[in-house]
Amino acid sequence: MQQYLLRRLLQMVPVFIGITFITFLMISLAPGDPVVSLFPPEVLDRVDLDLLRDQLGLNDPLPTQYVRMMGRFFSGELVSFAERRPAIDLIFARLFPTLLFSGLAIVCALIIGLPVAIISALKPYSLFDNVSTVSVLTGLSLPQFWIALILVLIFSERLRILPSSGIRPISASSYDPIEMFPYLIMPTFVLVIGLLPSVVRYSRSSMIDVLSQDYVRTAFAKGLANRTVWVRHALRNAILPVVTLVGAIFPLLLGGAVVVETIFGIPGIGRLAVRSAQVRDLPVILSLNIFTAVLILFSNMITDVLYTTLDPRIRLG
Amino acid sequence: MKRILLALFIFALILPLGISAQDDTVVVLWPTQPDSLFPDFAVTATAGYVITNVYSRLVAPDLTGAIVGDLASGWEVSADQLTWTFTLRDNATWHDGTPVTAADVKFTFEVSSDPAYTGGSFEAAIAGAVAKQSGEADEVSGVQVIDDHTVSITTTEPNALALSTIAQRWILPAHVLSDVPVADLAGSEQATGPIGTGPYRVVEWRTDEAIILEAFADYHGHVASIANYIWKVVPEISTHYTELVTGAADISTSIRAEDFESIKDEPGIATLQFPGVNLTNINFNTASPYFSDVRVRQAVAYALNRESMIAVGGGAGTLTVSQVHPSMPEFNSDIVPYPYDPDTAAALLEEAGWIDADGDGVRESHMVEGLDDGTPFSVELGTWSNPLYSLPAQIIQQNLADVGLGVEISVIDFNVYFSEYLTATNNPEFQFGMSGWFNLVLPPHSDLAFNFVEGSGGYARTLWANDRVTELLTNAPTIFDDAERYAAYHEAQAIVHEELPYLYLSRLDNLIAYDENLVLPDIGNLRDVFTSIPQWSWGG
Repeated sequence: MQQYLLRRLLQMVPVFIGITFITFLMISLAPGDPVVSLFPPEVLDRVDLDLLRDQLGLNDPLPTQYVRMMGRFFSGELVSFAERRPAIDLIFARLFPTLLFSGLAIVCALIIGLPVAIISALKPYSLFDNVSTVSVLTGLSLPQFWIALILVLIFSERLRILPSSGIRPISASSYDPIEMFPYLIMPTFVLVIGLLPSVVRYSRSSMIDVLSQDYVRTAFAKGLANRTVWVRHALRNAILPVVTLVGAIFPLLLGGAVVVETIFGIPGIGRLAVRSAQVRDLPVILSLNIFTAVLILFSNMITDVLYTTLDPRIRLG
Repeated sequence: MKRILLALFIFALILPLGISAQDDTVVVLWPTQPDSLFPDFAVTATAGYVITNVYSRLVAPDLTGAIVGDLASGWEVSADQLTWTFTLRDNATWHDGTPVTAADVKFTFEVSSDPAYTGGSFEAAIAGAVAKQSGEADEVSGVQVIDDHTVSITTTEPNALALSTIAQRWILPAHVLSDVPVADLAGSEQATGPIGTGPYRVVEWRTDEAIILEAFADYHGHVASIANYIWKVVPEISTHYTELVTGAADISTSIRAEDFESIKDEPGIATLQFPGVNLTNINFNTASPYFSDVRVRQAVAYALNRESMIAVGGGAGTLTVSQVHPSMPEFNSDIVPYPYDPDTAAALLEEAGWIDADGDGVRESHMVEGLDDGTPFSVELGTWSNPLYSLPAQIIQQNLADVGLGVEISVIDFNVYFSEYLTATNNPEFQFGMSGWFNLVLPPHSDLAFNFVEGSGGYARTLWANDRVTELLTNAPTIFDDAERYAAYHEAQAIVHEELPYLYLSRLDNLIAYDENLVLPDIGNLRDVFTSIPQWSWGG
């Protein structure tokens, strides 16, 4: 196990370098000039752009820039072009809301999705199965921004029971879960609608698959109670693909849910990512990509480790 | 379980009622947060709207545009019109309690002339500024501390705009920043938790969420009557409506035109509307054989139905003929916009040698300089990916097709548009572009000079130069008689309107909605909405 983890960690190094290098190259070679975005067009005349390029190191050859940026990244000194503050600070300042909503969304999607999937799998093509399939797919087909705006219209503007923007009352000085609760409902709902279809469809088909296995039939034949067979024998096996799915979704959610963050005014990472791309803020884009890449690498590893716990037949080595 | 759910639901019902505005707080909505609160390095207009209440200047325009004392209680100018001597108020203090002195003023101008300085406030017109910037001098000779409360500023030549230029400079705290290397200033603490001298003090900046400010009790002027001012970031503009009608916020300056009529009918909401600070324009590459003939440029002006472009570009606005804001005396109000008149456009094109001989609907060149005879009129219109510009661009395409001019639209990312596409010097293929002008800068001199003085920064966008305009704009700062100076600007605008290196299309209105209990002074432009916050009060 330890050996396995060590090997996985070592394998991450070339992947990591590849990701950072490709990101760096893509942004550097993309058309556009970061320093132009740092000033409104009408003062460009009065600004020494070349001096600024020099200070930001943009006049150096690309390999030099890459090595310097990576060095600064690891020492936490990679500074945003636009805000001139460490890029990592900009990301961490927005981490809490992003983590909060990603976590909430996944937990809620599992709490709602798994039971629905199991019931659907136990009675495939029943009325319940069909209704749940159609509703989760409808949810998926509706664009997120539209659902979000309709929710705001109904619950904030018409019924006036939920706040329309932000993650806490504007007068609040801390993150008090009770005060925050009404602010969390609509954004979480929209995110869950986006996640539910994959959770429900994956778990349902995996469960159906497992239920038709010989060992499940054997378990029934032994005279075990239905409930025991479903939960002990079937679900435990059926859950594996869902673990993979969650492992894949979570880091993506952390990369930022731009639409939801924008409409509900959530100060998360997604808005930072979009703005940084618009103004060619290379250090921030690079840091964000590294952040997401590392999360994906680690969550893949954790997924693999979780496999062994959930399924003793799997051995890492 | 059911009980818990019920309790949560009731909770949800009750809680939001607690968020309505309090008497001592005003919540102002804006779609983005400032990029920085360090005035020299803050790029966005957004930042300027916050900075205006956090910092002070020596002198500042009041709501009528007249320049009055801010940190300075008085000033006089020498007989040669070169040296301005300011007497500072003795009661002015920084937000941390340190008194404001002449050293702060000196520091402000020293910093912007430093060779390592990369901010946007360098002012070459101050004596010695260029020498310090180039490293020939250690300090700016034109800014002299006479005593703790007296400072003089000397310009290189008599300049009628000196005072209004000084009125744009936010004074920086020397006691906070003098130990910071100039190259590191942009990333210093001052950018996020500024120490200023303005009527409001920044208490906390919550990233992408809000800026919490409170009235500064020791302010040197009139202490703000509303104790707490919250700049709330709400990125989705359609939600501003909801925030206002539910009482979660008190004022928004970003109401969408399609919402404006209905928000007027909401109980408890008052509205304001005035010509906005953003305008849309077309700039031509006047060196291009397609647009070098002024008759072709005028034909484009006649061919465009600009009213319908306002409708798709945002809904409410006015046609405009100049980049100068109509609320300013420098604006030439005698210029009549080109009417929508496709027949005149067609006649002008015929005269210029563009005739549709083969009847395919697109005109071909006949004896047009720089083009082979029979070249069809087919050009690219560049614009950037903002619906304010890219949607009206489609009307331009349609209107020009109606008079026989073929246009392909190319929608380009903002950064690339301004850094690479827009300039005829960088981009030889550049024909014409549709974009905008964003800021209301008082006075309009620097904007006009940027665009129309031969060889200055904006010249590359049109390659258009006119000796008379260059002369008028170069001389304007030396004309001390206001009416005479305004006349020079008026003439320059009239020539631009005739020659059309830029064709100004429209100025979208700023649409503002606010809680009707909020008492605002008389306001005529967006900037003053924010400048006047300390004068707001809760009435009714």
